[in-house]
Amino acid sequence: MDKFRLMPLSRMRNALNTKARATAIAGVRGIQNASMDRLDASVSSNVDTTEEFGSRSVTKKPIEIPVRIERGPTDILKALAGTVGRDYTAPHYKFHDDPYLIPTSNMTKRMYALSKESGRKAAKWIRQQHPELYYHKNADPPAMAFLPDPTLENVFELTEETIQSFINLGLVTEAMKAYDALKDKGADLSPGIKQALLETVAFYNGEEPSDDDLLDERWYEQQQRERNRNVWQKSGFAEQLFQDLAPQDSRAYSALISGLAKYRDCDKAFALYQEASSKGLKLDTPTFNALISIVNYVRENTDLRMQLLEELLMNMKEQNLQPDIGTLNASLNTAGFIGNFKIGKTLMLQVLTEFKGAGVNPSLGSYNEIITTYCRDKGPISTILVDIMNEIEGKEYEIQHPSDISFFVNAMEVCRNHLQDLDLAKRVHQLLMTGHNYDFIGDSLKESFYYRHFTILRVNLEPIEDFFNFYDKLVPNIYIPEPAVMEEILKVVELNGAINYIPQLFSDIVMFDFTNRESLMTLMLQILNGEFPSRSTDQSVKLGNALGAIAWKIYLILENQREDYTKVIYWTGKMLGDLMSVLVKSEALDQACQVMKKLVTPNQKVVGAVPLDSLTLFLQAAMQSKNSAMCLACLQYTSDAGYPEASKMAEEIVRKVELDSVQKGRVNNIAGFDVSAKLDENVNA
Amino acid sequence: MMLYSTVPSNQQSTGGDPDEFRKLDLIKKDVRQPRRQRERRELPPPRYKKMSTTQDWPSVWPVARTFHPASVPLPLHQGYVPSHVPVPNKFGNLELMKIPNFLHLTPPAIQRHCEALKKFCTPWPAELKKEREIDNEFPVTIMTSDFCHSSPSIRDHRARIITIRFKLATMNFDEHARDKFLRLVGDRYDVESDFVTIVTDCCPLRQQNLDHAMYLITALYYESKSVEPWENEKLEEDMEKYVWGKSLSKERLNNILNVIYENKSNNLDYLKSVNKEALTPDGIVSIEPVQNYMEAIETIHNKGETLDTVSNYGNSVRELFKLPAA
Repeated sequence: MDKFRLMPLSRMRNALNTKARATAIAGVRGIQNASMDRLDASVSSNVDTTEEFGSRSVTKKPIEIPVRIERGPTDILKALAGTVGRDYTAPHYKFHDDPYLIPTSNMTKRMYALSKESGRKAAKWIRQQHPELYYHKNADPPAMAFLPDPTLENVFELTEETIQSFINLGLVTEAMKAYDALKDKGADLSPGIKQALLETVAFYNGEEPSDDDLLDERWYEQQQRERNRNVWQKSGFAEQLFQDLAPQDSRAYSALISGLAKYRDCDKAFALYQEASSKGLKLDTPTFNALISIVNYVRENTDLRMQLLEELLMNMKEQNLQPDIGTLNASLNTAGFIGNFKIGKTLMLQVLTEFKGAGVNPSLGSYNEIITTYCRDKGPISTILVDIMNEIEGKEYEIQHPSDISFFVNAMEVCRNHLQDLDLAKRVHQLLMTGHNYDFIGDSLKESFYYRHFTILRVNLEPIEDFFNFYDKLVPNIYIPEPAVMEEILKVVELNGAINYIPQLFSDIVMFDFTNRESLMTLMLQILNGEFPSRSTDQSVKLGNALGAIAWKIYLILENQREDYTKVIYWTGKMLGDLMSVLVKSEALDQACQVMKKLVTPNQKVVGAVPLDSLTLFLQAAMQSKNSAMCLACLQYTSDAGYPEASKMAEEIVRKVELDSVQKGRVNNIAGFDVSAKLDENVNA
Repeated sequence: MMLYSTVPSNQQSTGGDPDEFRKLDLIKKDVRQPRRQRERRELPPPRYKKMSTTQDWPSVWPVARTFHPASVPLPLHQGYVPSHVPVPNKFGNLELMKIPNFLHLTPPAIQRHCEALKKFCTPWPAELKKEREIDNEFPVTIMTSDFCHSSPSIRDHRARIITIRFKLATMNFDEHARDKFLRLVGDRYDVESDFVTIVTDCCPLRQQNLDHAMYLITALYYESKSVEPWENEKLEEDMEKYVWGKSLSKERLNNILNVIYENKSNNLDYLKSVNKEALTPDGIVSIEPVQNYMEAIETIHNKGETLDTVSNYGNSVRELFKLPAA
């Protein structure tokens, strides 16, 4: 990239530092020289100008050069990225854009993403274990993220700065080890470094924080952490450090109390709070926020909890502390779970107005607390989400509080289960799509919950064409419907008789690995049979053939199941009946015969009998094609299944199909009487 | 055809007679298990089939990347084949992957990028509309290069080089200073375009090189302006070009003209109207035929002998001495 820069005349003059600078400013003299011919310029007789560099220009007014617009190092990239929209046909960019490598089911999505990350993790591990292998350091400036983390063993000189650098890098265990080593050496550490270490250790509970680079691991993490259990390390490093810090100041108390509250050692947190209060120490806002969030754990009933909440807030006011969004959300959370929902609800609204007065605007997390309290499953219907949407619609939010990411999934759940309001759900979705708001979707679990609620709501409340427009956009790259959702969709398709969507849905079912779901397979066969189109137009014949192919594919899939699978689908009579009917209706008699052969082969694991109407349908087709063997097979099965209609069937076969003597004997055998003789009697009579 | 009833049975059809005792097989034959066939996953159709004709292409292909047949909804063909064979299509086509494609730089994409970058741009000063105004106001052009490549280091030693360019005419030199300047800059001056180009690269940093270049221009300017005592000692041999006015030829012509003037047989008309006082070495220059002669001889010396210059010279001499035409 070549850069051309034009240098203004004035700067040139500065650079040359001419004596005549003051008088030579272009435009002051103005009319000095009219000769613009450069070659003549040197011989031009203008004696005055020869002394002044470049003052030949005849400028009427000074030129205003606009000030450069300041920009950050990544602003251009961000602006360019802003021109790119979402491509719904492409997988997420962490996957390879190639048909062989695009994940098509929830399991493969998870597997591919985590495998990739696992490789990254393994590389990191090797790098950390064998730093000596990576001596080739030609990066300039050095990229610290690519270098192994420093450890205590290879620290050149152990000082306070070592601890500080470990803290800055987020290496909690190393920082703790360094502190212990320094203490053993008898070094005199400053209170500043002790305070910094206490804050870090209390924040992480003395454990190594999870790696920031492993995004997918966090994305797919199931929330297994038991949130409300006391996991604080009792008399651990943090508490010892706190003792070492004596005399403890307010910052030390704040750090430890915050940590205790975060890891739910509630009694100790409040004990320390009392201690600090009695010493007259001033705590900071985050500490109060942490204390407010555990009020419900230290008091037993609603009144006492309210009292404590009020007391804490009053204390904040006394100490002239400005409440922040953390204070608001903690107060709302406490109010929501205060024990009595009626009191909780009114308290929430009071808190909200109070904080608005104090200049704290609610974040998405605050609204999340409100809707989870107001719209409980078994509570009365509340339309508070409509009011909230009226308030926040079209706004773009910045993340302010950890609970912000729960808003959308909970709002969508309220739309589906509590209100069953499609318009509201669409408004919520619109908000999610505004600006960068999609960042609030949370993790993979929240995202799939969100879309599950949205999809079920839409499929039930929307015309089916509109729903499938939405479905085509979303599936499979953003969301893959779970089996239960797929079942819901199939049911709606059946209800609407929208059989033309079946081929697409079936190919999706195969893609998403749902062919081992018995309910889906049964439902699919039932729809195929029940909604099979009449063979009147070319189009419907084509569709019918496609449906027949689907039915046959289902047959093959179920027949070729591996025996050692944990989930094996066993045929039911109904499934086989539906299957046979579809095959007959799509004029694939050969395949239907194969099913019949399977039915009459001994030792089949088939639950229940095939319905009679499917058998009749098959028999009609077999008789039409004069396939006497298949007619007999059908008769045999009908008789074995115990249908009393077998004798009628036998009569029909004898009447309509030419049979040889052996076959006639078999028919008589099955029917238990001489069929042809009976027929003759009937004719005679 | 044999037909059997469908009596459900719990017997496993594992082969062998269930009533028989199991055999003890002491010397087992090395029966290789047949390699289990890997199950092939169903492949989704190439995704271009799902693309609508109204889709936003810059979002599908936002940055430069290797061609991929499943993502580009174009029926492309590429590659050399012997005649009578169709050109290979896009699937599995290495030729298409080798060449750089510009699918990310479609006109709408570029237009969108320009729109996005407009907010970082300032308007062009309204006063600077014409090329000449720009040249006058900004006589100096500074050229630098930034290098961007994918390697561990962001440094490139070529980035330090500064190239400064300006037109010599902007210096407003007189004859002497211009001559001296040209001698000082040597081949950094281009006669054709009148540009002086100075490249500095001796310092390690760009700013240092820029400062150095500025210093060089300043030094050159003042050095050219100054006149050293020894410069007056410049002789005819030191002249960079033939100047008749300073040559011996002028002296001689003056002598000849004086002799002719004195002579009664003066047949030169132009001399008759000239005063005796004007016939000095410096005075004769204002006489028209002498002027013509001077121009002709300077041209022949400085620009070389051509048919034109030689005949011009001949004509001027004939005019000067009223000689018969050739």
